[in-house]
Amino acid sequence: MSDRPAPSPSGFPIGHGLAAALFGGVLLVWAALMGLSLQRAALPDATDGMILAVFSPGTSDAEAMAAMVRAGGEPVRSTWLGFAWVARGTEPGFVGRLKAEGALGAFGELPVGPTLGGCTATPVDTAKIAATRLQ
Amino acid sequence: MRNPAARGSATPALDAGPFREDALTTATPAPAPSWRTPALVVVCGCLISMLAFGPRSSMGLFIGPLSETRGWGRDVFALAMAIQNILWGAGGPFAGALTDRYGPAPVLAGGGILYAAGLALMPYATTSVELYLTAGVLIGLGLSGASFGIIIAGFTRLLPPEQRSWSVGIATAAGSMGQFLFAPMGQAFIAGFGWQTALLLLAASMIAVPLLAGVFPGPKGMTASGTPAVTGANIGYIAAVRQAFQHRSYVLLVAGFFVCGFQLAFITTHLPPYLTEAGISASLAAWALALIGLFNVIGSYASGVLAGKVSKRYLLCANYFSRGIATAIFILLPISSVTVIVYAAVMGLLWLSTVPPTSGLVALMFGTRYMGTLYGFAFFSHQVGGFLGVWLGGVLYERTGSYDVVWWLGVALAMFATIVHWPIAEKPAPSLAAAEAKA
Repeated sequence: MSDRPAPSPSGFPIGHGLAAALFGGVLLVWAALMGLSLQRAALPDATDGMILAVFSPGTSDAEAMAAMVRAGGEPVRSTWLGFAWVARGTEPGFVGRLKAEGALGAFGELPVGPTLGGCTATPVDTAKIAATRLQ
Repeated sequence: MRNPAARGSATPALDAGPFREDALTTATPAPAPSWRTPALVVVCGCLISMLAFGPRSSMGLFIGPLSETRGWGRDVFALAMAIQNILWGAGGPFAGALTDRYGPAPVLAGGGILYAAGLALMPYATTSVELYLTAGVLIGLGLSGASFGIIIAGFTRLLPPEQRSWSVGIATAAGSMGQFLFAPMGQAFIAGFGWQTALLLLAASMIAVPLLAGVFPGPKGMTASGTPAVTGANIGYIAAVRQAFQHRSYVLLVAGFFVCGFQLAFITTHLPPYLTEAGISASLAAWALALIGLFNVIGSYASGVLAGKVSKRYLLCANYFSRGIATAIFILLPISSVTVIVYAAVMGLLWLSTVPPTSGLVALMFGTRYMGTLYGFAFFSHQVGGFLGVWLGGVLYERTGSYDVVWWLGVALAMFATIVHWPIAEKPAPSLAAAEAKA
């Protein structure tokens, strides 16, 4: 690649700008698809039992724990995402109450985890490493 | 070490010196500009690269639910993945030959369809043989037709020499990004729709591959300046392969790529258990792998840019030497969070950074006429190395009770790769240059 990438016949330059535009566009589409999937994966308000409660990024541990207790549940443990907690509630409607206390949503399992990029990967059991199965 | 070709044009150059990528090009009057602009082809090629690498990186997520539902042991899924990986490598030279004969579009389209069929049929596999046929054979062959080896051959023919390395870099980075993005998306799909529907959604995404492949030009290719980009003598596939393996520099290059596969597959598979045994949390082990993926995107792209500016063999020497040094330091130092994170970042930068200079050297030695075939053989060597990296890692661990032997073997292989890349002649292979001159 030369220092100044030559423009293509269409006039669109081939170079770092194209790379940035491409990766930026892909990230936007990915974020939208992730949003839709996570919305679909969210537990209904009537759910109780062991759940993954997701709060706004930046929520302090104290605030999250207080919200879980006020919703009638108990925090079980934190996760690698600082704003997501494993919590347990025995009364029906636990998820709905959590939302009322400020949680963004609740899930049956942690749907996002760090996994590998590699070129000859024999797959790591990411279901074990990254996903937190709760029920 | 600036690459003279980086500033050159696509003019004929039979007497090209070292680093000259556009040697043996035959110029003809420029035709009218096509709607298949280089920018459009690069974008579509990168999207295919992302799509091809993505679902594959999510495969591990389906081990649990599939094995549970069907009552299989993990060995069934593992064998299916092993079949997939080896067929991906073994199918590479054949897919490459088809690309050289018919152009990238039909090969990518066929690969995408096979890949989609494999994913779509996986939920319906009720016996282990059916899983081997779907997740193993169909997806493995689909990968050989739709992954970056074919994209690279297509880009190499489309773009002028000064942009080839960059284009290979962005295609490789796109594949890395696909892996990085698809893994959490696969998890989200499973959580949102169930594992069977998640596989069907991934299959549906692969349907885009044949559509995107349609923008690639035919087998003769065309550079941005309108000159045909197919370079190298038309000597037939068997003669091309024979001559390639008689050319010392190509053999050295293929041997070096074996080491790349060995190291990557070993680290991918055995780093997490190595770290957890050393007292590192499973969470940090997973983050280490994620960091490798993230830095891989940066490293691949940077390598593509650098390979167009500096000597490709020196770049490869530096890469393998750095891998060896980084690994040696990592295993000599006490393991801590800091060393794990730093090692993951460094290895990520070096991870697929071998691809742009390796493919660039193949194009430089033999022209682009048999690029798909000859890069396919190099990649097969890479996959064999990967198989051995995973297998030897497990075998030697069982025999010695630790990974130390394999780590040091990886360091020794890195030094071996550094040494074998050093004498590579960074110029067209004499036999092919002579054949072209004769023609």
